Amino acid sequence: MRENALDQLLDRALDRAVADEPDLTAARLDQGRLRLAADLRAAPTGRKRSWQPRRALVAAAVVAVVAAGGIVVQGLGGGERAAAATLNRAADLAASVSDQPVGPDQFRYVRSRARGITVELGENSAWSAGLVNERWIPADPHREWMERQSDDGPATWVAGREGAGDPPANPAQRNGEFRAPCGNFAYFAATEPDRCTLADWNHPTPEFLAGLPQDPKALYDRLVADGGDGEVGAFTAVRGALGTGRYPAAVRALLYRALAHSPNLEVTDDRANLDGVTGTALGLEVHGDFTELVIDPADGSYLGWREVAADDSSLPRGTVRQSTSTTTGVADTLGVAPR
Amino acid sequence: MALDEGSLLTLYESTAARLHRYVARRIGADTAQDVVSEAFLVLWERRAGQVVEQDTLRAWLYGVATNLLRRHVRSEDRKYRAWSREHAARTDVADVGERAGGAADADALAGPLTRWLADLRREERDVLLLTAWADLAPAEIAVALDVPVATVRTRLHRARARLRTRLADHLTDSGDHDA
Repeated sequence: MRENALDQLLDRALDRAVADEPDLTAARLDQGRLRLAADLRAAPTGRKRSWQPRRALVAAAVVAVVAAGGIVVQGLGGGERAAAATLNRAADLAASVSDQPVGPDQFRYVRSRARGITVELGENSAWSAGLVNERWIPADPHREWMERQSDDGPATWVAGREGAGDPPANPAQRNGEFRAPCGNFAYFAATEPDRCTLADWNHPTPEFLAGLPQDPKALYDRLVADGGDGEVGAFTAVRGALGTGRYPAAVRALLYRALAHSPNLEVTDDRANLDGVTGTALGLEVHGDFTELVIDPADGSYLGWREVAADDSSLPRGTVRQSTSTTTGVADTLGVAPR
Repeated sequence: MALDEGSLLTLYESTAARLHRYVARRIGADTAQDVVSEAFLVLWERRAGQVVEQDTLRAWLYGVATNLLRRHVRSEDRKYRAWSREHAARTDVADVGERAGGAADADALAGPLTRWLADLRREERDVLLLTAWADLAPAEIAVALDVPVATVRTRLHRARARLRTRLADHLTDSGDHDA
């Protein structure tokens, strides 16, 4: 028998081998989900609350999707309307800003600085680490992109939470310089979608932007649908979108107006410090943390995002668990920051 | 996406039934549910807070489950041999050969094939079954098992070559010669 005939036979026999095991029933599946949710909630302090400085974090390459079962969203009363007013004011300001144009041979430059605290599983120890990520995105996104990432100083123990020796460093392979057309960098797994054709909130193509609803409520509904988890999903989609640094002023303004429809969003800190700049933080409480985006009240620009402990379970309430500040500019040369 | 409680539950909703099917075929549905539950918790302990794409997370989950299966290696072997004995009666080797690839033949060969699975080297079996029963691509298996893609391909090639040899011998022994 020829080899390919044997291969075909093998594949079909493999398909049928031991194929008579019963599937998980819907009831068992639900039961398993409830058990998992209970296990996750059982020991909130003994669990690893980990911040891993990953390239995707600052690149905002992904939209977090939070399932309805595991969320605590709490409005504090009154704060929600303040959030809507703040967002609409920011939108008015943001819409009046004119973006610095990117010429045909120039690059959109996006610099993100991320810091975060990792709490070790079952230990008292906690450390803080950071990184700086720079991206050069060509005017024609099919041309060559560049990304450079490095540690933002050595990792340090959180005061009073020191462990033995030096804190674990960021994995070295995440640092370095990468170049690739369309931003298809070599560190992406082979299974990742092709960024030459990908169009979503984190990869806004002109067609994607043109297809967004212009009515704020309709845009909010679209964000809810795409985010996959109601209010939190919509919020996270906006956070991811703004973190790309690739949304024109008019669309940024529209995103703020859309978020004003988020029923439980509140002003969580009106003097939020992010990488030395003070802004207004708007956020939702999710899993014991406030997840926030920070807007400059002076001109409505997006400064970055934070996650702040909302209870004392693993870090004292008010501790910034992780944060990313984002600035953008226009660069003439790949690899050279503007000015 | 950052791996938080919500995204783990979302992963459960999208993947638990499929993962269970893969694990159940290897060690039986009774034990499979525990392994699936444990796999999600182990993934959580190791990866909570990390920011990854959904595909990577799914591959890791299959990797964790595959590693957990190592504790059940004896019951896996027993299951394959028992299933093989039970289904040996279906084998009508005289019909096999000319209709290679036909459904009836595949049914007939599933019995002996299952016994041969028990004889494969552990790491080759993992790669073969992640491909055949979990529908993972070599690149996904590489992420799942944390080995280079080239290693995955080599293991898959070897596993298939061993099974093809057994299959050819089986057909020859049955007096069914082929060109």
